[in-house]
Amino acid sequence: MKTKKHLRMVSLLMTLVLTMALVLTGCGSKTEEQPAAAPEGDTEQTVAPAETAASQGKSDSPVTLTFSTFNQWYNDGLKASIAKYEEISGNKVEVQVYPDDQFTNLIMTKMATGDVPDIIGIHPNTTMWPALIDKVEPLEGEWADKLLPSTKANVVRESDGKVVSAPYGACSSLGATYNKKVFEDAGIQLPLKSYDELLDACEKLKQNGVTPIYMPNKDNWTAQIFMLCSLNSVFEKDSTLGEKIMANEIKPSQVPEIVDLCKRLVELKDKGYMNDDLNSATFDMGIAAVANGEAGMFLDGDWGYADYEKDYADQLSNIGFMPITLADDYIFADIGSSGYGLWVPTDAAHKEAALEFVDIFMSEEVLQVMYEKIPGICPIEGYDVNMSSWNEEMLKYAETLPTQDDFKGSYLPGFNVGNFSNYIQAMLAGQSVEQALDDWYNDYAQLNKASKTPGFE
Amino acid sequence: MSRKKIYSKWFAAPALIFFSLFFILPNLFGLVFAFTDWSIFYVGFDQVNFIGLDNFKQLFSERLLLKAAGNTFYFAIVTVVFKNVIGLALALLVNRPFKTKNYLRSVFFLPSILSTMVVAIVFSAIYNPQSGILNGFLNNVGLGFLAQEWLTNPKIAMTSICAMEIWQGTGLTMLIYLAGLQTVPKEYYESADLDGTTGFQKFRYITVPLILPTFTVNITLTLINGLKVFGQVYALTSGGPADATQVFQTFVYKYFSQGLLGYSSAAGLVFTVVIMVVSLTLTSVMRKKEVSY
Repeated sequence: MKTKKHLRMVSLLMTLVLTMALVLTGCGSKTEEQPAAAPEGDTEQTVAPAETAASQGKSDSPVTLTFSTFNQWYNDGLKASIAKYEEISGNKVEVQVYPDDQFTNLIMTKMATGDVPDIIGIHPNTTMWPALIDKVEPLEGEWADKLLPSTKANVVRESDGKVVSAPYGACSSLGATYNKKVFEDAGIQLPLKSYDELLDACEKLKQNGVTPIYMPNKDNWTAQIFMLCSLNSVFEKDSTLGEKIMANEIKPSQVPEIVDLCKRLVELKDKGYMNDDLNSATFDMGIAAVANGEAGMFLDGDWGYADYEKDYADQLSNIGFMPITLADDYIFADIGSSGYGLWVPTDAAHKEAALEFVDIFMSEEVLQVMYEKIPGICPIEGYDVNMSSWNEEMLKYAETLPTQDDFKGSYLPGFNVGNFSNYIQAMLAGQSVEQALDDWYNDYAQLNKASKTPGFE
Repeated sequence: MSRKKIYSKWFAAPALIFFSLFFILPNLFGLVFAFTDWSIFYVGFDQVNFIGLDNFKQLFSERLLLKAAGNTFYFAIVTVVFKNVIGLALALLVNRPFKTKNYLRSVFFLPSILSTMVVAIVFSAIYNPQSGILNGFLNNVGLGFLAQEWLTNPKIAMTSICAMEIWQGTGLTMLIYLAGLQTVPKEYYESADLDGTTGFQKFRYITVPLILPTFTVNITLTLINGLKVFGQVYALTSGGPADATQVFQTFVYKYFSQGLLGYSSAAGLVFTVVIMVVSLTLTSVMRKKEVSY
């Protein structure tokens, strides 16, 4: 009896110990899902000394701020800017990067549970993140008053009119990169202001033995650029179309002009004006093809300048950037709003330091460091930052052409259009235009239903 | 004198708690959320609404679900057939007495212990239409007309993924068949030899009936693995091009990634039920055919 009782006590005790061990293992260390990409090494970068931008100067009690963002966003520009901030403030920044396709879900979950970083690096458009906007701090500073109007409209919280995200990245510009010599040899005059002129140019390039348009359709996001540069023509002609789409009164496949423009994109492929291996071609292959003169043009954003600068610096002077269109009579210089932003959660552990981080980061001194690495058109008026020759070329076109954001930013502000690029990619992969447009509608209808957009509930 | 047990049933408690917390409870939550409009747009639990069968109605009206189901069953059936046929053939081969049989057993089994992601990265390189060794080999031996866009041609992408899975998974089926073959008493073959039976007759009337339990195990395992396919597709094609290789799991993941958490839970629930029905039906059919001497 005594032995039985003794054994029972021992087994209960061991059970308890094992359970506690399991529980403590789970709670013991608050490690992040991804290894923190600490920028200590980058603080060694030689950054030109400059006057401090922060009125407070270096902090007396330095803190380590946590900064969470997409893996791809943690580029040379961001690293250099963070290093500059650390030099100015004396604080440290622990950067936590996450896989691009998982970050948004992850950060929304963290916001819901209160387990938030001090700074979030995510797109600055407030209407993209209804779950975020009431859980972040308003941001103030000289920079906020100098934001370009098109950018400011996207970063303001509707409920109180305050700026809640800091758009630090360049205003994105979409168009076609082209090989100047190849175009010269083919005797093509620029810009190509209509679909007919585009077809004519493609035929000349093809006869010269060059792939007219390099389409890297394996990379999901590239196929849409042609449509982003062209669909504005449809919305310009019908000023109510945007509202009808956002109110779920019409589907894209029910607009003949949208269907026609999409069919033109497929027609370019069918006429042999695109590379044969487009479904397995990648973005890097497109850059190489244009740089080496094997292709005439390649649809890209102005951020692609950095890619050419890295790998094809010798050929860069021969690579231009121009607006492009599939429409008959409408072309515009696509200069949109910034696509990179900073947010400070209300529950941030170091909220005051995080707000100061944003203020310092958005100063001309720090952004100059960023734009040195990744040139572009700054969304803050009056800042003297590095622009690439592509930006200058596009701004020159902007002198004679209308300047707009793409159709999403210009005519569907704040509307969740789903994964538009998927369906353009599908069209080029062989799916019918009407079916792809219907699939796109189903995609964005479902998302807008979930976010309770009026008309979709 | 009987020895009393010294290990209390309470020793199972930690494992049971762990299992409940990290498996049973999440699955129960998933079951409940399948009937709600939970999404990342309104993450607070006080903002989640019960919507009945709306998610399921939406699910069954979706064109992509049919595509995903078709691809999943295609993958499952092709890989089951080839993994079992090739696995059995290899098991029969390495069950014979010859010098290098142990070495060959290791070589055939090795791919199945590699990580799926690692194998997928390697096969991405092999299948690369411009620089991959497969097209390179075909071009060099005068079979350039057979060179394909293995992962980006919607017509053959799914088959290319099946080929990778067959290469990786056959070793395990071979091992299980080998274990089954080694349980067949040699006396039956000796008696059959005395009766003058052919090799095929021995295989058909002795080997196959006696290793039917192994068939059941292998076919069930390979079928369930085939229906659960995710990593292979996600790593090689992410469901593309143009949703041509979407399968059940990537379909669920697609909507989970978009933040439609209730909807993806509903899709996951449907998928779980399908797997259960298929595997239970198959297992009961195959069990009835098993014999023992």
